[in-house]
Amino acid sequence: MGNGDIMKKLLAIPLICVVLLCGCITGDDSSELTIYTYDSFVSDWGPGPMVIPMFEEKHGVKVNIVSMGSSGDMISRAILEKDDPKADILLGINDLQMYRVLEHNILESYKPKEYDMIPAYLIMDEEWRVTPYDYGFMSIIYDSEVIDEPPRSFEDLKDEKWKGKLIVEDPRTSSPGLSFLLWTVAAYGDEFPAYWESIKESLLTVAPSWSTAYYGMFLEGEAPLVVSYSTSPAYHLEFEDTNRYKGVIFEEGGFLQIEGAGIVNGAAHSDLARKFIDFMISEEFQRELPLTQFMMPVNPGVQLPGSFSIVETTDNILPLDRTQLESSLDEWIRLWLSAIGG
Amino acid sequence: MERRWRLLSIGLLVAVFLAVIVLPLLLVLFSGIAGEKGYHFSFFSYILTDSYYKKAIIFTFEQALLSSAVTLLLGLPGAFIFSNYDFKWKAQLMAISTVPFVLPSVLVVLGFIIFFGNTGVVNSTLMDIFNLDAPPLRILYSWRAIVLAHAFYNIPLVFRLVSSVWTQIDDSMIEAARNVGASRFRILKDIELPFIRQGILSCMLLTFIYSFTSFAIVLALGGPQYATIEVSIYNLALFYGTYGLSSALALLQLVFLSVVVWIYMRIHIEKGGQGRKVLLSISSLSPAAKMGVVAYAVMIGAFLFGPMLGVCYASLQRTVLGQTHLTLHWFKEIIAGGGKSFLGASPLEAIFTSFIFALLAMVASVAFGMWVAYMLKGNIRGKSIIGVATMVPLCISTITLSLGYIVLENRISLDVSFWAIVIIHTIISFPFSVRAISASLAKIDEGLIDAARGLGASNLHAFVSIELPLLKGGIIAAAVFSFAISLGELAASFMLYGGRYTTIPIYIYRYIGGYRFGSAAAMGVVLMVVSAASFFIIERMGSKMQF
Repeated sequence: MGNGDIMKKLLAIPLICVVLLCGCITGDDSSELTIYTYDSFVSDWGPGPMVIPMFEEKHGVKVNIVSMGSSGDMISRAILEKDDPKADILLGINDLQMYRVLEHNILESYKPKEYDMIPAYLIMDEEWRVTPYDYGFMSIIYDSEVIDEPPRSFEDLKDEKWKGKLIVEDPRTSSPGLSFLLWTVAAYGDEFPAYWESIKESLLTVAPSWSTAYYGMFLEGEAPLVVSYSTSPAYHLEFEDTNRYKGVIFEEGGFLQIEGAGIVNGAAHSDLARKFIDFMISEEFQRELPLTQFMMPVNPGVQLPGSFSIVETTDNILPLDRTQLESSLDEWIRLWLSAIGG
Repeated sequence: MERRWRLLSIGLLVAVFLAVIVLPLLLVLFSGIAGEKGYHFSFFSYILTDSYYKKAIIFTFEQALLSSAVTLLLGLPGAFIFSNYDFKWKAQLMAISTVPFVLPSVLVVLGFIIFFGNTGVVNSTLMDIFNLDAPPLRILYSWRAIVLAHAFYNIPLVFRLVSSVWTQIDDSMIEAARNVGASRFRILKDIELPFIRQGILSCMLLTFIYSFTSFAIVLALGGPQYATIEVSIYNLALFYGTYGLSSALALLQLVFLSVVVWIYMRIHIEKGGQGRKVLLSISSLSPAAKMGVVAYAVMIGAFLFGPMLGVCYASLQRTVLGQTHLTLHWFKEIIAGGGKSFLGASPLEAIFTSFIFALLAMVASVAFGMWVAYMLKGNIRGKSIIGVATMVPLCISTITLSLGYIVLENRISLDVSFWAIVIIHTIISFPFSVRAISASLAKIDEGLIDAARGLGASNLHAFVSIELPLLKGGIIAAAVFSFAISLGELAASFMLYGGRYTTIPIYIYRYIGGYRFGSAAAMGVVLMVVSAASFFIIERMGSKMQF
């Protein structure tokens, strides 16, 4: 056998693989509505498998739902494709990332038909380029088997007895981490760096992601307090039948994180996309959210499942202008870093 | 003739270097991603005077030095045992102890917490034994955790690289020394240590660079008070969007590391020695020495396997009805295709894809590694520069390089993602191949080859029948590392796979994104098993190969 033959064979192996792999994946170009979203939405345990077939049946269309990884990955992809959009809808933009999407002008305005039933404090964008579909309060989750009486306020956290007891996420790499930082900004205004300095000792560590903080550290017993969503305890109650993990919304007031979706500018199927946004806030879609997303539906007509009785809530919502984020965020992060000794 | 070939070879290498590394990087710069504000000296003076960055730079050097020292300290006895003694399950142990090298950092963090954490295995055992109320060992969330995690990642490097050189030592030299009455310690100090110096230095260099540019470990186990240069680059570029400053930092990092590599290349390496070491049976050791070996094995075994077992434990743990059970639930979930619904690939397909990438990257990386190692062998002019250039892939961030390939792909409107992933995996594993093969090559006695030629052997024949067998250890080490690096690589694969070439690390990453920590850990176990098996097979096939 000559050398040429070997080369051909070597080249053939990867080529065959490429062909095989491509064959497995392509073939959904004919579908009509393309939605970009994040992994947990379309996974088996997410709302996707329930709500997408409903929409397909209702309108006799095919939906091509593409998961991009995290919501940040999805937004980056959409910005990259700005001039030649492949998606009709971006689903899963949270209020903290929204300014990134808006500044690139990749979404068009659409006010859904039943918009007026959405409570005013949940409206993400006055121009309705992003329509909210779920939300949650930021919360401190505690392990009731380790502590009886959790801190009830930001001020309580300063106490010596919480030394090394709280896990927070890094606001630069995690959205609950950023929400928690903004919660302190909303509560303390310009004084927030001084506050962080005063709770520095209470922090066990600043984890890079929610998964690492919550699953990797908190549930492994590294510390009894963690920053998460107020809905987290409902998950444990629903699927693990335990009320061991409980939440606290601090007395100073609650802070919201809201998720929404928008129609892509220049979308090939914008009519259908509008119908999807209408569908997204309808009860049919909304009632699937609590037990799949573990977030609160924006439609107040939805009956919450029993496990949500454990979820803390408040009427005292601390305001913070999300559109102001773009201009102030850098500075806040810098101040935060120097406050915790970075 | 020789000279012409050498020049041609260098020319070709420079061309490849320009095409696969410099071109994509320039594209990134031109696309305005990195250079929107241009490079100003003010960036550099800002970095060098700002207290935050000054602190980051100093800490980067400190932890990298400490990490490489600790790695060597913990790894050298193991390399000694692996290269001097024969024992049961040796090949399997070697294969498993290379696994830390491929683990995604998120699983390393998980493993460390389960093992070293406040309620982890070590602390709860100590608390039980000594009746303590509080966990005595507080190593996580500090610089100690960063150093230990870097050692965890890099000890496999010492095991393999150093022992691949060590086994080349000529037994007759040791025999001669023993005959004149030298003690074991004297032999180790005067003959063996100088001989394996190249291997040790290579490990130190690779570990130093690796720890210098380490990122996820520093973020997760250290916390924000321990920023390194790489962490600052990431934060600046991805979070603040200040590319000017982050590019300046990246450039500064490249300069620092180039200086380190340059110094390393200037160190003169002594030649001499060839042949194979006769391995002694471990039972031939004196009882005291045996005790020492066992004590070390237990310690290092716990350190390397503890966190890995922690990941296994996490993959079997599930809370139902308020009780935590051990179950195969998460494995069932990945087999049932819980991930397929959003990844479009079954776990088996992901294993297959990972395998193809790793195989291609391994072949390419070893081939290039040999080529360059040969070029670096003689005392050629510009040797230090070539040496520095071969380390560049370790000093630039994979993310930047991947961005370059994305831009390139858009320019030529061709779908080259598959090959881009193969090329990037080759690029980042190539420095390991060069170092592993160079370390072996440096030990080959030129006289031997000249003698063979003198006896009428052709160049090719001399190469195949004499050099290749001597190089085998280095080549196997290079192959295993290239395979391992490709198997564990996430950043470039994730940026370029476009939903089509799902690898095992992408599976793990996206399971975590889907809040399925148990499934992610289960997939992590799959990765560990696949890697260990592959390393074992590569090693087996390599050592069985006859020339």
